[in-house]
Amino acid sequence: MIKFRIFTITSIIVLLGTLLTSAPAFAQIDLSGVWGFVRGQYGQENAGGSDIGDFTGIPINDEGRAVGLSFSAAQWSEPERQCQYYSPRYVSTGPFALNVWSDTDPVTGRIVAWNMGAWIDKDIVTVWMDGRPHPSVNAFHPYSGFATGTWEGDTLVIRTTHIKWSVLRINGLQHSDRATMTQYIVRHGDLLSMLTYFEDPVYLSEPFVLSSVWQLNPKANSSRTSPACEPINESPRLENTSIVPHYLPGKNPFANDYARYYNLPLEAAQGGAQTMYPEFRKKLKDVYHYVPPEKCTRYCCDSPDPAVKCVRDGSGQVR
Amino acid sequence: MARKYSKSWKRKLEAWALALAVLGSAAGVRYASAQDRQPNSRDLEVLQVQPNFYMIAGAGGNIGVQLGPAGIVLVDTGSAGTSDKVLAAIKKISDKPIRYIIDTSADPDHVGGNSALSRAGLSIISGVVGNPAFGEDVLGNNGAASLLAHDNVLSRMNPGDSAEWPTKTYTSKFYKMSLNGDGIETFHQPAAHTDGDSFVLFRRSNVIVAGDLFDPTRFPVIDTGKGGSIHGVIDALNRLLELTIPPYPQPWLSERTFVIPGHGPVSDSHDLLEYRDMVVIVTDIIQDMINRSMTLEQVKAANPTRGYNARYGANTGPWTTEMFVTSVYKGLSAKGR
Repeated sequence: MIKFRIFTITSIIVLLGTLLTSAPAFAQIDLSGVWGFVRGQYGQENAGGSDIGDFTGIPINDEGRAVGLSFSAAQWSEPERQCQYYSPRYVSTGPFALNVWSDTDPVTGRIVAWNMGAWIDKDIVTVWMDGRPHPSVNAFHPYSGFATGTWEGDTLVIRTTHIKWSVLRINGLQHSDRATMTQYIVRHGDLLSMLTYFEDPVYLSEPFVLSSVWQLNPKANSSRTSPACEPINESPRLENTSIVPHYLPGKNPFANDYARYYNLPLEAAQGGAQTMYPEFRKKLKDVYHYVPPEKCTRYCCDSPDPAVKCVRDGSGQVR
Repeated sequence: MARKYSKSWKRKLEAWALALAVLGSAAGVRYASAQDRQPNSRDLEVLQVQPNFYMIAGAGGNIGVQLGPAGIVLVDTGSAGTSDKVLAAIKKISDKPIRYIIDTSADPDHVGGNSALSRAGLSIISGVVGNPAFGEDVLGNNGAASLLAHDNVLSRMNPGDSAEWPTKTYTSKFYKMSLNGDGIETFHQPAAHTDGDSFVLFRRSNVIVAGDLFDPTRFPVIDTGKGGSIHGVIDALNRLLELTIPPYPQPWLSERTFVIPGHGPVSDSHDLLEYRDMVVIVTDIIQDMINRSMTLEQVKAANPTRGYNARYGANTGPWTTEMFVTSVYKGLSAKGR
């Protein structure tokens, strides 16, 4: 009898120990559903777009700044670029709903992958949960990158590699194809929080961190894939596909507009890791004196000054 | 109160507990081993690009492998000394003979396996055809697979390496053939990386093997000593872009033209575009500096490749950023664009 109990208890301990060490495959929380975008950083990305020359708070290095300042918005009219997808880092920024669904093993019923569809101009990101390794450096970089996930407690941790060279912000900052991304997704009832660490050894000196909050909203009814896209000739000049719109170093006429417009020091507008931290404000305190613009004509709704009126026109744009 | 168990029930329970423990352990081990399974960079890597098309990496330059009922078409053969491994890799994906080898340039890391891989193959031309004066050696490469390249590749190859020489050359803008149900077009791009560069378009497979006309691991290597030029490099990249079909209107699907670069990862039109844009932007910057009468030393000091050094540049090795800037400067200075 004792022998039987020892054997049985030992077997159960071995089994439990194995199950605990294999926790990522078992401890899953249901993330499926349509999640409406509630709030996130860099809301301008979802409105009129970030201003040319606004690199504030982005941890770019000198090379990243050089590429950003050479950017001409006419690049978006290159026929080859018109239907390109955004980088998977844009999955975290909305504004469209995030459609999340799982793929299950037909035999075991286990979830082998989570899929995230963020709709327009964004590829479906498949997050493999079956422990497969990331491909080699010679493998193709799809628009979605290659993502794997593990559960750490109730947090889904997603590691993405094989990301295509793309825009870090749509005002011309770029990230390279060596960028990687780590995301932490936590469900709190009907809310979903997403923390994104975006790293790029080529253009960033520190991780670019983004957070966003989503709310379960079946009515958002987001499609899983982006609509089909057809490029057109937007500019006769660019029908010559060998032309690449850009500004030569020091020749971008819009480079300082953002800093001038908001009366910001150029040092802050041109970004860099230091501009992310509160210490940067202290550094500027004695050398920079803020002079408010005479009147607010853009993004006034975000002004902390109650005297600034928020006026929107029929399209919802601030005027 | 002590519960009583029958012997048979105890045996059943013991068996179930043991089975569950073994299964659980096996699942855990399988999960762990999947996590640890990473490619070994010291070995060759075979990547499937399309159902009938592979890329072999790690043998020097990338090698394109088209499979079909008639046999294998290789584009480039890697460096000397890697052929045994390349052959072993090919045998894992096909038991058919190598019929053709197409060289994209005369670079040693692209033609080093010409002789060994050709001899391991089998000519598609059998027996003496027509005039018996043209023997097996002339028409059928002594039974070995045919080696096709632009004529300038032959001119640039070392006279002492005759075993690596192409056995069939072309001098026109292109060379076409149909094999394995595919239309295979080899295009000459004059005065680019060298003066003998070709890229190969496999129409039905929807794959282009670009050779060093597209090398996303570094700034373009422009071998001016072998007739290369920045103008030719840009022309080649534009030509590749013209022929590379993007995944639109349904970018979420995998349908597109895949591009196998001379080195680096399997690519598509997006990757090619980023690289082409970089080359054009840097060239424009250097041209502007030349227009402002800056000397080569002044141009170098002004860092015209700023923005791209960390990704494509090198301070040491066979192709440095300084060598690239110098070749572009000299090319632009020699000929107005």
